[in-house]
Amino acid sequence: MRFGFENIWDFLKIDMRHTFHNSVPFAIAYLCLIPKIRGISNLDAIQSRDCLLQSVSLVGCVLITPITKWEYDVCIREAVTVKAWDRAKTVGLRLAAAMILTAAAVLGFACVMKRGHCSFNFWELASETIGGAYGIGLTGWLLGEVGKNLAVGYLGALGCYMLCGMF
Amino acid sequence: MLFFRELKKVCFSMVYVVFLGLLLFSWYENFYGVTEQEIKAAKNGTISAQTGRMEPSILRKPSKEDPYYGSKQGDGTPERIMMGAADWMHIEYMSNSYATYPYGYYKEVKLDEKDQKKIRDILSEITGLTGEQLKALPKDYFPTANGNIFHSGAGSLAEDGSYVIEHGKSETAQFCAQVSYEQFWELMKQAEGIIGRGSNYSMENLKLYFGQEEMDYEEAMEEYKTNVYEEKVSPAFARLFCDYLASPLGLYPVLIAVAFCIKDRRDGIQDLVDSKSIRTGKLLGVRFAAMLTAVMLPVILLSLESLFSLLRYSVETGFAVDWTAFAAYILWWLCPSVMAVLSIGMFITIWTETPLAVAIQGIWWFVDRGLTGLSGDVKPWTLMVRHNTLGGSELIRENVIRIWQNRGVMLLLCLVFWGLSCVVYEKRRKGAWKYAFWVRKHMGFFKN
Repeated sequence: MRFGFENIWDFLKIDMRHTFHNSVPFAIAYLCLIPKIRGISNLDAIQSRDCLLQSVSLVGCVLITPITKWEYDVCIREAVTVKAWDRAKTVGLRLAAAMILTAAAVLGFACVMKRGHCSFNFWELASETIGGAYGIGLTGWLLGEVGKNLAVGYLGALGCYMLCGMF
Repeated sequence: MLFFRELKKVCFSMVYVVFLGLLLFSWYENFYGVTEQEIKAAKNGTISAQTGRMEPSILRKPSKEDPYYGSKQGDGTPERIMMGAADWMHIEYMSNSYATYPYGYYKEVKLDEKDQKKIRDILSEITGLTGEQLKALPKDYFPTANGNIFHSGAGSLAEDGSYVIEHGKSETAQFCAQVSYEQFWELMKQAEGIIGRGSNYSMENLKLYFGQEEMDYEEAMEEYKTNVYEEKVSPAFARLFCDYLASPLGLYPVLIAVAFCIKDRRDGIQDLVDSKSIRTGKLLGVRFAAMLTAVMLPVILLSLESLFSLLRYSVETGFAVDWTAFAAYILWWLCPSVMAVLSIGMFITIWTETPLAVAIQGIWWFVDRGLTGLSGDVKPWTLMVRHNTLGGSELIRENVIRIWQNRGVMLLLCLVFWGLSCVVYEKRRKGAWKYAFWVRKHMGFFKN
C-alpha cells in the first residue's frame, strides 16, 4: 500500500490519471460534437468569435471545475488531509494541468478553424477564449469547493458563462 | 411536517442559493423594468422598449395620424416569396455556400458537383434560364432590396446623412417565376432535402424572411382592443415573463434534483433513510413537492414586480387589469416544464446514483432551445414554450390546443418518471438493484 509520493513526478503520474481520466475524454467528445451542431469552417470574424466564445470556452467547465471532485466525499477528504503531502501542492498542480489542457484544447480548436478558412485574429481571439474558459472553470471550481458539491460548481460555471454574456 | 423539513433542506442548501442567483440574474437581464418602460412608452408616445424596433407600445391607443403601426408576420405574397427564394438560392449556388441553422447556430454546407447540378436544375426550373445564363445574370435581374437581401445600390444617402434602404424597389427587376406556387414549394422541398435541415428554403423560413407585413390602422386597433379590453393588459406581460423564465427553468432545476437526491448518500445516511417505516411513494412525493415549491416560489415572487406596476397603471388610468394572469400563466406554462425536469432528474439520479441527469437534461435543453422558434412554435415534445413578444396574442389563440397537448405531455412525463423513481427506490430499499458502486466506478466524471 502507498502512503505518500516521493516527488512531483511520482505524484503527477498517479494523480493526473485519476483527475482527468473522465474529464479529458468528455472534453474531447464535447469538442468533436461542436462541428455537428454549428459550422467551424468559412466563418467570418463575428461568426468565429461566436463559435469560440459560445461553444469552445465551455471546455473550461469540463476540465477545470471538477479537479477536486474526489475530495468532496467526506471519507476521502479526511484521508487526504492527514497525508504528509501538502494538499495545496496537489490542488496547485491539478489547476496548472487543467489550465494547460484547457489552453491546448482552445488553441487546437482555433487551429482547426483557421485551417477551415475562418477569418479571425488568431492570438487575440484564442487568448480571449482561453480567458473566458479559465473564468468559467475557476468560478465553477471555487463554488464547488465552497459548497463541497459538484452540482454547485457546474451551476456556478453556468452562471459565470451567462454573466460574461457568452450565452 | 415532513414537507416543511424537506423544503427547509432544499432552501438552505448551497445549490439552491446558486440557483436563486442565476434565476434572479436571468430575470433581471431580460425582464426587469420592461413593464415600467412599456407604461412610460404608452404615456409619452415613444417606441416600445421591449421590441427595440420602431414599434409603438402595446398599451398606447393607435391614432390615424401615426406614421407606423408596427409589423406582423403574414404569409407573404407568392411573388415576393418566389423572388426572394430564387435570389437567395442564386447567391448561394454561385458561391457554393449554403447557410443552414440545424440547431439554431450557423453552419455552412458545401455541395458536391452532383448536388450543385440538382440545385442548378431547380433554379433553372424557377427562372426558366439555362445554367450559362444563370452564371451571367444581369445586375437588375432581382430588385436591389429584396426582403432580407440587399444588393449593391439598395439604398441611398438621405439629407441627414443616414443610409435609407428602399424596399420593394423592383421596377427594374426582370425576374418572373416560370412555375406555379405549388410547383415552387415542391422544388423548395427538394432543395431542403439536398442542402439539409435548417436551410433557408423551408416554408417557415421563407415566410419568416419574406412574409413580414406592415399593420394598418384597423389591425393595430384590433390588437390594442384585444390586449387592453379582452385580455385586460396583464396576460401579454405574463407571456413575456414566462418566455424569459422558461429557459433557466428548463435547465437549472435538474441540478437541485440531482444534489438533493444524492444528498443522503453523500451524508452517509442512505441506509438510515431506507430503513424508515415511511412509504416510498410518500417520501418521494413529499421530496418532489418540496423541490417544486422551492423552484416555483421565487418565480411567483419575481412576477410581482410586473404585476404591481400594472396595478399602479390600472389605478392611474382606470383600465382593468387581470391580477390573476401571472399566477395562471406560471401554473400552466412554466410549472409542467419544471415538473418534467425535476422528475427526470430525480429518476436518473436515483437510478444511477450519479449526476448523469445534468448531462442528459443539458442535451435536451440545448436541442430544444435550438429547434424551437421564438414565437408560435409548439411541438408535442417542446420543453420550453416560447413567445418572445408582447403582442401576437393571436399566435397563442391559434396554437392553444397544441400548447395544452404539449403541457399534457410534460405532465405525463412527470408522472411516468416519478412512478419509475418510486419503483427503483423501492427496489433499492429492499436490497435489490444495488449496482451504484459499479456505475460510480465507471462513470467517475459524474461522481457527486
